[in-house]
Amino acid sequence: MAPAQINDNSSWRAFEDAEPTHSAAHYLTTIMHLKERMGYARVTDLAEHLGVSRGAASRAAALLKERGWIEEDPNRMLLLTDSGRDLARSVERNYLIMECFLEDILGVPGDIARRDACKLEHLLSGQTGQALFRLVRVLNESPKILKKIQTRVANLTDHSPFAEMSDTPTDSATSLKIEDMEPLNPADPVCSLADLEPGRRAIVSNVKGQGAIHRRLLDMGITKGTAVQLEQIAPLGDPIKIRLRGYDLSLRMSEARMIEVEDADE
Amino acid sequence: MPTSDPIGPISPIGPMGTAVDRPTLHVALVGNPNSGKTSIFNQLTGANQRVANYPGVTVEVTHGRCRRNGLDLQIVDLPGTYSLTANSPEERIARDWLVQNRPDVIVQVIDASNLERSLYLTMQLAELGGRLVIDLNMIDEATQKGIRIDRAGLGEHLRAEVVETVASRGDGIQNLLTTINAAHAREPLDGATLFDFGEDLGRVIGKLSWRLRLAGDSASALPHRWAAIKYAEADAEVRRWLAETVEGGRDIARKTDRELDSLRRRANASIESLIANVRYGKLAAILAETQAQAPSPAPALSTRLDAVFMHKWLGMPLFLLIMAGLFQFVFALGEPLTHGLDWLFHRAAALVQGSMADGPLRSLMVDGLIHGVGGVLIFLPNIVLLFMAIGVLERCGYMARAAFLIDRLMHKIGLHGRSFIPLVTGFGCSVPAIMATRTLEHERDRLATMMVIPLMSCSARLPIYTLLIPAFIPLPWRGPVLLMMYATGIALAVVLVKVLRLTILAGEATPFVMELPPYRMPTLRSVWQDIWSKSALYLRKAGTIILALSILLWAANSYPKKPAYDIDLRPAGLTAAQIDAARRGEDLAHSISGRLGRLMEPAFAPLGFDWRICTALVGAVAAKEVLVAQLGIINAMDDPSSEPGRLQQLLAERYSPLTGVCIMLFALIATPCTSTVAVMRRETNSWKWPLAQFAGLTAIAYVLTFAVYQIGRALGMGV
Repeated sequence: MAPAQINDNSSWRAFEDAEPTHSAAHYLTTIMHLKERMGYARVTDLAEHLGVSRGAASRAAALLKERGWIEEDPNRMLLLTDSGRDLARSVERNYLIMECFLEDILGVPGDIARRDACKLEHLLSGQTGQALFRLVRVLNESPKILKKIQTRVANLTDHSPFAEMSDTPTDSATSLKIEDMEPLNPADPVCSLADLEPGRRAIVSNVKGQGAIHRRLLDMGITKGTAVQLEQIAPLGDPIKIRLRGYDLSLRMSEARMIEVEDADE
Repeated sequence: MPTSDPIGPISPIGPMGTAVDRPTLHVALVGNPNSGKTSIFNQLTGANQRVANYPGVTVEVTHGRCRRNGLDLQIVDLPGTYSLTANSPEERIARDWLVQNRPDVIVQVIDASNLERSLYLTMQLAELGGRLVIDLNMIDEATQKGIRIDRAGLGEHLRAEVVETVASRGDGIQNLLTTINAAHAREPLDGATLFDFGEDLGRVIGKLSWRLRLAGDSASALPHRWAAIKYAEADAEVRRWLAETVEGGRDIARKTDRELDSLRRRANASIESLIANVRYGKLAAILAETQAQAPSPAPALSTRLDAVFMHKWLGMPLFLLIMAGLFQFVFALGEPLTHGLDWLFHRAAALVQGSMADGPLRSLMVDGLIHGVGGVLIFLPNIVLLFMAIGVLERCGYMARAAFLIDRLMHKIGLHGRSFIPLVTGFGCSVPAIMATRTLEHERDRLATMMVIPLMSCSARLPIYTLLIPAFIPLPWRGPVLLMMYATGIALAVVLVKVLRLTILAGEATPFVMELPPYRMPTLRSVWQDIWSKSALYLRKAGTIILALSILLWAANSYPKKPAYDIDLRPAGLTAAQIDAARRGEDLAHSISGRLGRLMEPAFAPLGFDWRICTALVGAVAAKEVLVAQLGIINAMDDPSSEPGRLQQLLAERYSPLTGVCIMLFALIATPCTSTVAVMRRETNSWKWPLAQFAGLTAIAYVLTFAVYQIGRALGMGV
């Protein structure tokens, strides 16, 4: 944001009133995501998800409520109001268009583009977002012109005010957060579904492999955390019958070996 | 993603009599295998169906029309699928249809007792967007198991209409129809708004879908968000589409791959598994709210039955017993029917023979047409009985168990557990056997099985063996030689599958990740539908080809006519029947077949065959057992005695035992009969496979017989 461009005092004030702050935007989009993923969002979930204290989340929620963007139902579930949902959607739209614009058109490195887009998402008006969308789309439609512009921009060796800036990002604090996806502890003894005795139950800890077989296993519901029970081994010793998610499935040993499990009966 | 649509978008069929009140609704039926989808389809459309083939694959899609209550529905029954990722040709067809044709309403048929697994497909349909109706089929069974489903809640979560049916009884079909119509009135769902893939994955998918939107018209063929999800799932076709069709697609792919790669490294799991986790996580949350199940005290009936049928010691004997029963049912029970049909056609031929003047027209009628039609219908009893048996086994749930039991053996030779029944059927007749490969889900397994089925010694090979073995082989060796013939065929099939798997049918092994559906009572109606559709298909599609080919072969055996017979110049002392037999022999030698035989002689001399045997082999292309008849006819030329015992003696005088074995070997391997060729054409939907099979097997037969004859001679046998 460049304050120099905003000379008119009244528009500045209107801006402050109507637009969400950076953190408000974050809270709003997080509530939207939580609701989509889990079906509900409470202050506790919000705090846990954003890594802030419950008190801070509660204060933020109060602020959002004051603005009329969210409501709380009798069960203390947070609900987005229509204007809140519109706002969250528009913030997300702006984020994506900004990131695409910065990275694909301007050629800014991915993590910087992501960081800057995150800073700008809630400040951009819908109109600007749309204009940017159109520009990017038109440029994408004429790749030759785009290439020309990009080459020209890249080779511009003017005494620009940014000449002394290095190309490398100054900090790398923007890597995405990964929850509930941490790698298996390598110290854990890993056994595969093929090693189980008939009648044993186990929890799937990892599905190895790749390509069509890997996808097929996932499609059939063999995902991390699924409870499976080895029911029978074929008389000739190869395919096995397992029970999971309320139905029976047969697998060859070679496929069962791709499924790492933790014995649930131990 | 192929941009060309093989069948073309479904176009409304013109007005048929009554005026159409409403515009035609295009409805697609999708669902897991064993969900009762086809029963729903049959209930909706009755006999008003047509089958469409896709070029290059053996997968079929059935279309049907339903006009009821002033509604007019154009319904397509897509192949059963567990997901919308193109893992196999079946899934690809179902997927492509949905994406390219964008039906007005998608109906997902779900086995109500198996909600959790089925909803996985629902999640993917929701990602695709549109209007969705969920049909909880077999709801009676679910209720019996104590499963209760909150339909309204489910519908709200998935933004779909939810109905209940029992397709086998026709319950709820009316309601389904009304609901389809109601669903059509609502706004189609935008797949983008429904599901969230979490912060990190969602960001990559969201970004890719925006990049696709920004790429302009070149990326408009697929819904952007859906394409983005499929790209992240490493769907080969969507990846190809992005790289080849979309403007700047390679750039987008490169950037996205970088993002996906970093995500994969940080999560230490494949992107596919992250996506599957999100979907299953989401539906677990939905199920927790909408499904309740009373805990059942006793293990389910299916578990108890499996304990017997797949028992460590009992399983295999029971399996062999059931397979032997199936074979007996199809061929032992089929035999009198086949004979009856045969007798009927002989009577008809005799009738025409008696009522028409001698001449080419009578010959065409009797030996060409009646014989040809008889040749088509003769297979029908076996086909009907086989599909009755397969229908019952498939629908009661044993088919999957049979595949489970024998898979280890079949997998060793490069086939699938489900290849077993078609191969066993091949010992009876190749025609129903090739049709039975339909139980194989995967195209490559299916083709590999079909290609080697003619190597199973079918019942038409038996007359050849029973003629030649007593003629050439001393008594104590007859049994072992007969066994050797069967074993040779099986051994060759095993080798051929291996070769096919390494060459034209190479590729990733098809997984044996197969659902074992619960045991169910098959309904008469569904089994009847199976028999009817398979028999009609055979008669319509294969029958015409068989008829045409048999008339062609009749002409080759009959023309040109010999103007004067040599036998007439011989001294008298022959009966009229003997003279007639000799004339027929002379006719055959003079005909195109006989000339072909003489033409082939130099090429087949190194195999120990003279022109007589070659002529008989030409006849065997029509049907294997014709070889015996032709050998009789052609040899009657010089020795006009047509008793079978006399023929064996004659053959033994004329040829060495080595030649006898070579004839059997060649007849076993070479030239699948015309009916096999016709059914292959019909089942693979192309001439490529039957012709490759015909040429390939004949070439193998030639080389092998050549080797046997030459080595045999070198060892001093049959000189």
